Amino acid sequence: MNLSKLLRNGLFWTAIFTLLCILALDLGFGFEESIGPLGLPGWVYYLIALQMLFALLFGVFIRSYWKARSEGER
Amino acid sequence: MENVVAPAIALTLYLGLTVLIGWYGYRFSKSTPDDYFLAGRGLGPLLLFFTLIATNFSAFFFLGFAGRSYHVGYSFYGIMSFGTALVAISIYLVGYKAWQAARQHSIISPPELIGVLLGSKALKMVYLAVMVVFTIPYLAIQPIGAGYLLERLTDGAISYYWGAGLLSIIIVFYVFFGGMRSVAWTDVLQGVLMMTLMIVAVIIVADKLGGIGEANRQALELDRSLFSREGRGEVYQLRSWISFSLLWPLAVPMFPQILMRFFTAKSARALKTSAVLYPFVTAFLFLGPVMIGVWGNLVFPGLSGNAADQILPMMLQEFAPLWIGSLVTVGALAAFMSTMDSQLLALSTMLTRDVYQSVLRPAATLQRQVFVGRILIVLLAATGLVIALQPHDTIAGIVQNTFSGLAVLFPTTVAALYWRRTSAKACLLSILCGEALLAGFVSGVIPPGWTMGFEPVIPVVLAAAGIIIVGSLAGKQSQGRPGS
Repeated sequence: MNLSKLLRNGLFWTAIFTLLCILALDLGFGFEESIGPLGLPGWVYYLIALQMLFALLFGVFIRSYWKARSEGER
Repeated sequence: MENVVAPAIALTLYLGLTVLIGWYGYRFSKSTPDDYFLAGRGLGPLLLFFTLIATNFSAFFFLGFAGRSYHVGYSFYGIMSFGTALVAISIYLVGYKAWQAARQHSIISPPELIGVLLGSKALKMVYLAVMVVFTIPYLAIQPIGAGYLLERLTDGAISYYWGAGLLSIIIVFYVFFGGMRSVAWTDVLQGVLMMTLMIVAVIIVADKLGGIGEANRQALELDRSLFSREGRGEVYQLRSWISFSLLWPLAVPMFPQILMRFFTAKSARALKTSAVLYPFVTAFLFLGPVMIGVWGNLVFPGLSGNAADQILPMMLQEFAPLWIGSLVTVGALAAFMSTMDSQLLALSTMLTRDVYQSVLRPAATLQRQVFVGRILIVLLAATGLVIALQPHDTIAGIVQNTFSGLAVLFPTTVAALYWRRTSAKACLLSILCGEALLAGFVSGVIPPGWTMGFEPVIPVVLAAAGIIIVGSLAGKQSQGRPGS
């Protein structure tokens, strides 16, 4: 069940990744102007993209983990 | 007369449909605690997802978000949405293990879960006390929201007090009879209405302001700080962002109404689906009330304190035709009701199982427990209503204190679910010290500088976790029944 263990760690790293993203948001991105057709501040788009990325990673993790787990049980 | 007809029709249709669904749920229910309090542990993926969303998004989502964003700007979107997306992790980590243990040991209430896993009655009672003390003020913000909204919509024809009372009476009716099954079924209707009508509200208000882009351009011209990441007045620095991103995933699964939802899942798949879908909804939906709150500065400048909690209904009254305003109000009421019904049921479950049945009448029959649970629902709703008569803080202020108080339970819950070596005494000490520290920070007894710029909940939860680790390693392992 190496894959299972790996994926378990993946959950932890997903959390760390998201926190690092918040740090990056503060350190490197100066999008405070109203931009794009919606006129939202640039960092709001960035934050929405990060959340989507997190949701996708999390979804992939859960799916892979349970697949590996059910294969292991068989 | 015209001013009353549209709201009256919308409200009557919505409340009538809610009562009908609640009554239908009652027809399927059996008079056993498992069925009344947990819907027979049979909620599938879609039902569980909607009931989790509807339960968690409350008056705070509809009114509190807009009110706070009016004051601080788009920063509040980041403060709320990122951490709430991370709740997906805690739904999975806490939810799955709690669901397993609840099935294995026929557990119904959250304090029962801790009591069984760690084998300590004292810990169970303290855990219960914290949940009750911090959930009741949160319960009260739902009638507060309804009172504000109905008063504004009907131009005072329904007063704040009558609005708050009307909402409480309808909820008590269907929770009293149908229990969790009625609550979950009405949550689907309420969740769909809440999400759809929030989108409608944004479209209507934006249209009257010249479109979303134009409204934002005007807001930027008015006050650039509304667009900054720190917010107006620079209230949310980096450490605040980190604090709130951690606060929501720590606190949300500690709400008894959310923790109990995990017990109702039919299968592990239902929990997984809910966890995965959760962040997709929060990322987009939270933007709606925040935008309306920011734009509120263009139309109603200078509101102070909790007056801004009414900015969303004020904007609708200003811009939307009465019938659309009435429909959106229905969406907001759906958000309040779907949270309050779950809070009432969760509090009633805990007091029935962990006080009445466990301490006062251990020999109570199953039917008697359900009867007592129903009486408690009436009493708790009345308590929430009494608090709502004199709101002492903004909605956002009440919520932050509630969330912080419940987050203290997180280390104990995770340790009980995952760590076989956990000591009940260490958990007890962790909760008591954690709450005392929090009270110290809130009251100002402990200097604010000790938090090093983070919200108090962060050092408090770290201290609570540290006490459990050190205490469990040094002390004796508990004699409970660990989960599988």
